[in-house]
Amino acid sequence: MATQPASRWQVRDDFSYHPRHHWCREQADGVLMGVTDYTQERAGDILYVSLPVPGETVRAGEPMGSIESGKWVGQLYAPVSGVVVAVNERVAADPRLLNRDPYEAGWIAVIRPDAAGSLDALWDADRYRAALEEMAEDL
Amino acid sequence: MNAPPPIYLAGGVDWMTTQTLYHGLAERGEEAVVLCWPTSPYVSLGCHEPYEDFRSGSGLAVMRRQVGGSLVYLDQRQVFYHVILSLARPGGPRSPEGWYRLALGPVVHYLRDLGWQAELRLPADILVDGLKISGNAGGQLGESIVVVGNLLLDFSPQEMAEARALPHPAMRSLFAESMGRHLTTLRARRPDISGQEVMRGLAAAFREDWGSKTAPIPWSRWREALAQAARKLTDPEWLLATRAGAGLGPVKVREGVYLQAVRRPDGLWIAEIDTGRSAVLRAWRTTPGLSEVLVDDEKAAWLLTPAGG
Repeated sequence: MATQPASRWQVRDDFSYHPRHHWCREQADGVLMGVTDYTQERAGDILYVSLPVPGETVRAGEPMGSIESGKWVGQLYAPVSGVVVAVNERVAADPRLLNRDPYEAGWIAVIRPDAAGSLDALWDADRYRAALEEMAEDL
Repeated sequence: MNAPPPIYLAGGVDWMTTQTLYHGLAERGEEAVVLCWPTSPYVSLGCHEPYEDFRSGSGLAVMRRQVGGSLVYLDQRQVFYHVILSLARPGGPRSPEGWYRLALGPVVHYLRDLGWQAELRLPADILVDGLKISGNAGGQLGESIVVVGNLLLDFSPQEMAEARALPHPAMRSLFAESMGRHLTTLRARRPDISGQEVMRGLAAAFREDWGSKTAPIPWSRWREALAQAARKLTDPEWLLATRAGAGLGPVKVREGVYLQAVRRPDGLWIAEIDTGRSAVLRAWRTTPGLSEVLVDDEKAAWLLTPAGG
């Protein structure tokens, strides 16, 4: 079976990545996070998104919300442990924003981490690209 | 497929158990193929669907599942299959489409063994001769992948339409009539077929395709997980979730065919839309004091625009 090049999915150099295909970026009020281009492309048209509530405590690697496309419900995972301080209401109102612009306008939440260095355990862009290469061979 | 999941022939069970089985097994991380049907009718709401879609006046029991799709009316004239697999299964699919193809392959196989032209219509309907005979949904629950669906032995479009809240009484009869044209059932083709026979046929297809074997049901091992799932699926905070803008969204008839209602100063417009062909199949306009007017496709083409014209 022909494999598909991993380069079909955009990976931003300046972001950190969780193995479950979420991106993160540190900013003044916490860790901004969203889903990667891979997630949105594999999901197809995203019709619904369920976001955490600001003030909610989330734990790294555990579900904090969900997305639905084509009658399929996928999980949104917290990439770091901490407290949700903001969510993107535009995504709640227009879930397809996740398809159109997953790395900018389609951000999902800001999490104030409960420990310093919380991004250290995440992958850099090169490691994430390598993981996508491996997966692309199976597609 | 490595280490095939066991097949459990549950048969007729109470309505809530037909839902807690797959939620509970996913929570436990147990792989399985469960075949069953409810002994009484009920309504299942989709994970993200507004509660307002349910017509509480129908008097039906209701729960909200954790997988996708929209409101469905379920009863003892349908045979359910629940496929629960580990997300980490070696060589497992990496997309919803892949999981649907894997899990529903044996169901399509069974229908073809009956001599019918069955096909999977992505994302998740199974059609026979172009008519829907099975609806499905799926998702990730914990570390498990779940694909669930039903085969229609018999189906009453009127009962389904009665369970759905709709913006105008006229839409209820249109919805029932539209389902009648786009759906079919096993008994429409084989009047003598029974639920037991379908269950055995599905089990044989999963055995042939995956190498699965039938196993006795470990009810005592599952009891606590099923009870916990029942509490979660009917918890008011979960069940009664609403959504802004509920009420005028498209109502699905089958994959690619929807009824869409739009309110305008000249009345409530209702269209049957084929999204695959971007065509209005039929349209109606309700006007106070006048009977419903059937409008030809050309005049109702504005209903295809996202904002409804």
